[in-house]
Amino acid sequence: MIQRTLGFSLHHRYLVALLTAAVAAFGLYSLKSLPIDAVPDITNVQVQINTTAPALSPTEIEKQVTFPVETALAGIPGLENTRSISRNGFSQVTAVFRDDVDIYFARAQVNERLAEAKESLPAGAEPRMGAISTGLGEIYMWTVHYGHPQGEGAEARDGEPGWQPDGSYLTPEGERLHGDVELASYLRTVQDWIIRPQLKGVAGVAGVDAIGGYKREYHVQPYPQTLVALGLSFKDVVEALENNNKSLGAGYIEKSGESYVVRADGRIGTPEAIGDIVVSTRGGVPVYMRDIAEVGIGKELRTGSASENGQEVVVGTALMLIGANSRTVSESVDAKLKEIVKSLPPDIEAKTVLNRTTLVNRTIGTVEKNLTEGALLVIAVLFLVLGNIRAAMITALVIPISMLMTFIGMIKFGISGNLMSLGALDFGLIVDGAIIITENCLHRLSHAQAHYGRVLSLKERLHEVMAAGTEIVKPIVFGQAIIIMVYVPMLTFTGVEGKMFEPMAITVILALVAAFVLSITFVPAMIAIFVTGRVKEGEGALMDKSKQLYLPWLERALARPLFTSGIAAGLVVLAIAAFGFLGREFIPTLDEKDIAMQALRIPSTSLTQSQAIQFEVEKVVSQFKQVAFVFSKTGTAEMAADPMPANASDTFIILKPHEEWPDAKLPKSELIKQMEEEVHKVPGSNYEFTQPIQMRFNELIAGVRGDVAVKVYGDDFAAMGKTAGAIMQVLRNIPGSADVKVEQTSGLPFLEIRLDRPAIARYGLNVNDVLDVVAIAVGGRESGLVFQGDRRFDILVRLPVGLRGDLSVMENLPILLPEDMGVEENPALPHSRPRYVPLKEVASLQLTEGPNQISRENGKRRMVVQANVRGRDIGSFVAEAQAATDAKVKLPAGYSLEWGGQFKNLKEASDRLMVVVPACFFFIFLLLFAALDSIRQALLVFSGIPLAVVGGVFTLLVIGMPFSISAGVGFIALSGISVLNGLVMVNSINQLVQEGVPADQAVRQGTLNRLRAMIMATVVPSLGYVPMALSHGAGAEVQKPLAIVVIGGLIAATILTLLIIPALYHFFSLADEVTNKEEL
Amino acid sequence: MVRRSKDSVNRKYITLAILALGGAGYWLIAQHHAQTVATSQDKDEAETKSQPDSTVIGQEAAQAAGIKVEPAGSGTVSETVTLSGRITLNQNTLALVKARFPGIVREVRKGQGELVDVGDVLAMVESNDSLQPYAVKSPITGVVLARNTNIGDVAGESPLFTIADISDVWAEFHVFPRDIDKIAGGQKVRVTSFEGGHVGAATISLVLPVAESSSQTVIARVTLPNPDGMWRAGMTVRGDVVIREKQVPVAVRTSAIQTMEGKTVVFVQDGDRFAMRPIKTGTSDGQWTEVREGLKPGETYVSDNSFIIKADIGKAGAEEGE
Repeated sequence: MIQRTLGFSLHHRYLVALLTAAVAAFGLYSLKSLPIDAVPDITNVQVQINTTAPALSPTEIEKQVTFPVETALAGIPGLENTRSISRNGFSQVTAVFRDDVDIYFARAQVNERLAEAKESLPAGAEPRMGAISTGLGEIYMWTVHYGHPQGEGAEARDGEPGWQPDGSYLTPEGERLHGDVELASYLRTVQDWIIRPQLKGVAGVAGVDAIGGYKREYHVQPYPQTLVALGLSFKDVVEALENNNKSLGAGYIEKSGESYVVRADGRIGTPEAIGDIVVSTRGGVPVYMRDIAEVGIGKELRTGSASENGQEVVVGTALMLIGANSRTVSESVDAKLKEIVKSLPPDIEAKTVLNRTTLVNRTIGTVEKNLTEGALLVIAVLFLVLGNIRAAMITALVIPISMLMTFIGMIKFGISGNLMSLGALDFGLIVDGAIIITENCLHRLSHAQAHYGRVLSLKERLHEVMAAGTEIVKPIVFGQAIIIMVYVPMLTFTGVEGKMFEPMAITVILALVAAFVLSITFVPAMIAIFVTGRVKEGEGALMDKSKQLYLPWLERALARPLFTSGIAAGLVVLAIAAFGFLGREFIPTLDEKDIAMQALRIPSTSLTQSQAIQFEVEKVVSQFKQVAFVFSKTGTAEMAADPMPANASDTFIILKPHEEWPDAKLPKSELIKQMEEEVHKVPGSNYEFTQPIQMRFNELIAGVRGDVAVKVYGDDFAAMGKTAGAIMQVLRNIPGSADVKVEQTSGLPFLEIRLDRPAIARYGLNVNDVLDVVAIAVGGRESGLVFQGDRRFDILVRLPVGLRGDLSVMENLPILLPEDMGVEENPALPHSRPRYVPLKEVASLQLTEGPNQISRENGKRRMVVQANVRGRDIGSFVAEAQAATDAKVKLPAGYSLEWGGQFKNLKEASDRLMVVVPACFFFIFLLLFAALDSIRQALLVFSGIPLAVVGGVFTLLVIGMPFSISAGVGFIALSGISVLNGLVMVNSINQLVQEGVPADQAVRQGTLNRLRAMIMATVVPSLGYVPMALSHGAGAEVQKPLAIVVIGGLIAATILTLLIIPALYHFFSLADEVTNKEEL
Repeated sequence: MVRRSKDSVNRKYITLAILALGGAGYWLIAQHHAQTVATSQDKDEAETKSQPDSTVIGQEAAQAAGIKVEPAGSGTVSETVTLSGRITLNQNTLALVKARFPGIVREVRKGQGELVDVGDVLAMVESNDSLQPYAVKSPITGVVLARNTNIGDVAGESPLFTIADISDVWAEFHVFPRDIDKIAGGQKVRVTSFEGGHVGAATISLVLPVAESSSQTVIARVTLPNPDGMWRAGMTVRGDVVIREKQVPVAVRTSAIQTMEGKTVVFVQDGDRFAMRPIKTGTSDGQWTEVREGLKPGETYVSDNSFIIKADIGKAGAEEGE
C-alpha cells in the first residue's frame, strides 16, 4: 500500500505538490479559528446553580434551598456527582457531568429540573445557572473609577455634569451625588447599565460580571418608634410601596374612527415620589412615607467589594464562552470597551487591568520566534550535511506544513492551541522521517549519477527515488508507529491529568501522522521535481571528519563489546540513581508577568473590615516602584462563579515592564519576597502569592487539596465534628502524616434569635409576624422597582443604617400587636395596653458562633479531614490509616466515610500506567519484532530506550532544572527517536547481510551508511531546540525543560546507539538470524 | 564450541540486564509523574500549628490600621434597660372644673390653651336656684386644656374646663414581664423623644401595682419636669432606665472586647507586642465594661479596632472557606 502511495506520489508529483499547498492553505485558515490560550482549560463539564436568599442562615439555606435543588438534580442522565456549599444567604450547587456530555444538553436538563424545584423554594429565592463559561474564562477585566477620586484636582464647573465646587458629583441624569456610598454606587450604575449591556453583545462573551461599588437601591428606612407611635408595621410600609407603584395597560378605546391606547402609569420614577406615598391616614391626616422613614439612595448589603490603589472601584470581568477563542474574544472585548469609554459620564473611566490577549500574544510570540529560529537553524544544518540546498529546503518545509495540518486536526478534535499542546511539538521528531527519506534519496541519486557518470534522466530519477523510498520506508513506518506508541500512555489519563495531557498527546500524534504522510508523498514528489541536475553526495568535509572520528571508536567498541556495553549499562544505572537527586515540579510555571496575591483573614471578618484592611495592603503594594497598579476583589462577585467569603481578597498586582524597574535585573521571585515582607507588616492578613491564571488553575486542580482526604458523611455537625476530630487524631499518630487538619466549618459569628413560642402565642401573634419584622428590619424587603429609562433599581425597606448595628435596638424592635384581643379594657385600670411588644419579649437574642459554610456532596453533609504524606508512599500510608481508623473510630449509625484525595487519582493513574506502560512496551516490541523478524534484534533495538534517558537526566542535573511533566514529555520523545535510530541502523546492517556481505563487514558498512542519517537525526532536532532552550520570552519556562532534555538526551543517546548497537549486533552474532532465515 | 557456549551465557545475562534497565527506567519516569503530582500539592499547605496568643505590629502599621490604646482604669459602669412609653398628663395636677350649682353659662372668660392662675375667673354661671351669677374659678395654676362650654350652655354635672399644671408631666412606660424584676421606683431614667430631639432626666416615681392583663405589662411612672412645655401628652418616648450603676476599679471600653477560642479577651500592649488576655467581665453598658479578673489598672489595652489584633493573631489559621 505504502509502495503504491509512493508510486502515485512520484507519478502525480505535481498534483501532490499542489494538493499539499491546498492543505497547507486550509491549515492556515484553521489556524485563524484555532482557539488559542495560554494554558489548557481543565474545567470539567459542570453546571453551577446559584441561589441567593439574603435572609437565610447557612443551615436554613441548606434546608430550604440547597436540598430541594440537589434533589431535583438527582438522576439527570450523565450526571456524575453533585456538590454544594450553603453559606449565609447563598447556595451554590455544582452538578458535574461526565466529560462526554454536551454542556448545552446538561444545562437544558438542569433548567428543566430547576423549574420543578422552584415550587419548593422559599419566596424570592430564584435559582440561576452560572454563565456558560469555565474556571479559566475570566479573560478580560477592567476597573470603573473616577478620574479624580473625591473630585480632588478636578475642574469643577457648577451646574454642568461632573464634579461640583462643593465636592459633589452631578450626573448627566441630573442627580447630585454626595458621599462615598452614593459616589461608589454611581460607578456600579455605570458598570451595570452602560458598560455591561454593550459588552454582553460581543460574540464569545458568556457573561459580564461585576464586583464592587454598591448596586443602586432606593432605601426606605422607617424609624421603628415612629411606626409604633402610629400603629404601623413594617409590613404596612411594604404594602404601601407595592400598592402605589404600578403600571397597567387598559387596552384601547375607539373614538371618531381612531383608536386610542389607554395608558395608566402609576410607576415611581424618583426617590421624591417614594417619599410622597401615603402609607395610611390618621384622623384624616395622611401619613406620608417621608414622615415615617428616611428615603434615599441606600447602601446595598453587598457580598463583595473591589478596590484599586487604595480607592473603592468597580471591577468588571468578561467571561468567555466555553470553547471560544480567548485571544479573539478578548480582542473584541477590548475594542468594544475602547468605544464605550468615549461615551462614559465625565471623569468616569473604565481602565483595562487584565487582558488575556497580552499574555497569549506574548506566549505565542515566543513559540513563533523559537519555531522560526529553530527552522532556520534546521535548514542550515540540513544544507551543511546534505550539501544540497533544495533537498534541505524540501525537508525543512515539512515542519511548517505538518504543523498546519496539525492545526486542522486540532480543530476537528476540539483542542485549543496552548503552551501544553503546542509546547510539546517537537519538530525534530517531525522531520525525522523526512530526513531519512531525503538522505537516502540523495544517497541513491548520487550513487546512480556516479554509476552512470552523467545527469540522470527523469525516468531514472523517478526510479532511484522510488527505490530509495521503498528501501527505507519499512523502518520509517515502524519507527513512526513506535514513536506514536510511546505517546499512547498519555492518552489514558483521566480527570485533570487527562485534560492536560491528552490534548498534548493528540497534538503530537497528529503532527507525527501529518509528517509521516508528507514524508512518503510530498517529500519524494518534491525531490522528484526539484532535485535535478547534478547531485553530489554532500558528504563533504563535515561527514569525512565525523567518519574519521567515529571509525576508531567503532573499532574499539567492536573489539570490546562487553566493556562498551558495561560502560553504557553503568551510565544507565548512574542516571537512574541521579534521577533521585532531581527536583520535582508538576508543570513548569508559566510566568504571567503579573502577580496574584490572596489575602486571607479569619472567617468572622466582615466585608467592610476586610476591605478596610485591603486598602492598607494596596497602599503598601503600590509603593513598590515596579508596580504599575494594583487592584483587588474582596468577597463574592455578582455572578458568584467563585464564591469567595468576605474574609478573602484576590489582589492583582500588575507590574511595569521589566525595563522600567529601578533595578531591571531584579528577579520576580526577589520582588515577591520583598513584597511579602512589606505586606506582612499590615496586620490581620495571611498571604499567598501566585499569578492570576495560575491561581484559578490551582483552584481547579485542587478540589480537595490534600494527598489523603477522609470525607465524613452524616447529618449532625456535632457528631460529624467529633468523628472528624477522632480521625484527625488517628492520622496524626501515623508515621509520615503531615499537615493533618479538619476543614474549618465554624467560626461565623451569629446573632441567634430564638423564638419563644408560648410568649408569641400569648400576645396573639404568629411566628411569621415576628420573623417578618426581623427579616425586613435587618435584611430588608424588596418592595418594587424604580424605573429610570432602561435602568431599574430596587426599592428596599430596611432599618436605618445607624440602628442596624445596635443590639439594644434589635432587642427592642417593635412587633405590632393585633388590634383586638377580646380583652375588655378594665376601667379600673388607669392605662391602656401597649400597641406593640418588643422583640426581646418573644425571643431571646444571643451572640454565638455557627457553621459559616455547609458542604455537601452527593446529597449528604460532608466534613473533610485532610492530610499530606511525607517520606513514605501514599499507598501504604492509606492502608495503615484505614486499618487504624477502622479499629479506633466508631462511626455513629448512618454515617459513612470515604477515602479520597489526590492519592485516589495518583493510585488510579499509577494503576493504569502499570498496565498501559508494559502493554505499550509490548506493542513496541511487537512492532520491532514485526520489522526485524527477530526477537533478539528487537531486544537490541529496544535497549535504546534506557540509553536515551541517560543524557537527559545528566543534562537536567547539570543545569539544575527540576523534573517536570514537560521534561517527561522530552524523555518520551527521546525514547521514540532512539528506537527509530536503532531500527534504521539494524535494518541497514540486515540489508547488507541479506545482500550477502559478510557479517563483520556488514556491521561496519551498515553503520557507516547510516552515520549521516543518524547524525542528522540528532543534530537537527538538537539545533532546532536551541532557541527554545535559550529563550527568555513569556512561556519559555514551560518549553525549556523539553528542549533541554531532548538536546542533551539525543546527543548522548546517538553516541551510545552508534557504538553499542553495532557492538552488540556483532557480539551476539545477530547476523545469523538473517542468514538463518534465508536458509530456511 | 566451548567458548561459544560461554559467550551465549554472557549474552543472556547482558540481554537480561538491558531489559531490566529499560523497564526500570520507564517505570521510574511513570512513578515520578505520580510523585510530582503529590509534591506539587504540598507547597500550598500551611502547617497547622496551635494558635499563638500574641502578635507584633509596628507602630506605623498599627497607626495605619487605626489601632488605639488606652490604660485601663476605674470607671462607672451602668446597666440600663430600654423601655418605651408615652407622655401623659400628671393626673395629680389635673383639675376638672365643674359648675358648683347647675345653671346657665352667662360668660366665658378663658379659652383653650390660655394660662390661668389660682383664682382666675374662668366663667360666670347663673345659678338655677338663686338666679344669681357666680364665678367659676380656677383651682390651680395651669393651662386650659379643654373648654367644654360656651355662653348659653346649661352647666350641669359635666366639667366645664379641664385645667392642668404641665410644669411637670408623667411619662408612663410599659414594662414587659422580662424587665419587671429589674425596674423599681427611684431608678434614674433618661427620657428621649422618639426622633431624639428632646432629652430629659428623671427618676421612676412608682411602678403601678396592677398589670394589664392582655399584654402582661406594668406601668412604670416617671414624673418629668416640663418647664418649657416641650413634653406633650401623647408623645411616644423612649426611656433608658439605669437599673444598676457602680464604680468599678477596672473598666475597659466595650469595643475593646473580643471573643477568641470561646474566651472573652482584651489585647494588652507591650511595646510593639499585643497579647491576648482572657478576662472575666462583670457589668457592662454600651460604652464601658467592668473587668473582674485578668486586667490590672494601668495596663495598656487596645480600645479601638481591636478586631485587627484578633485577626492578626488568628491569621495563621485563616484560609479560604472552600
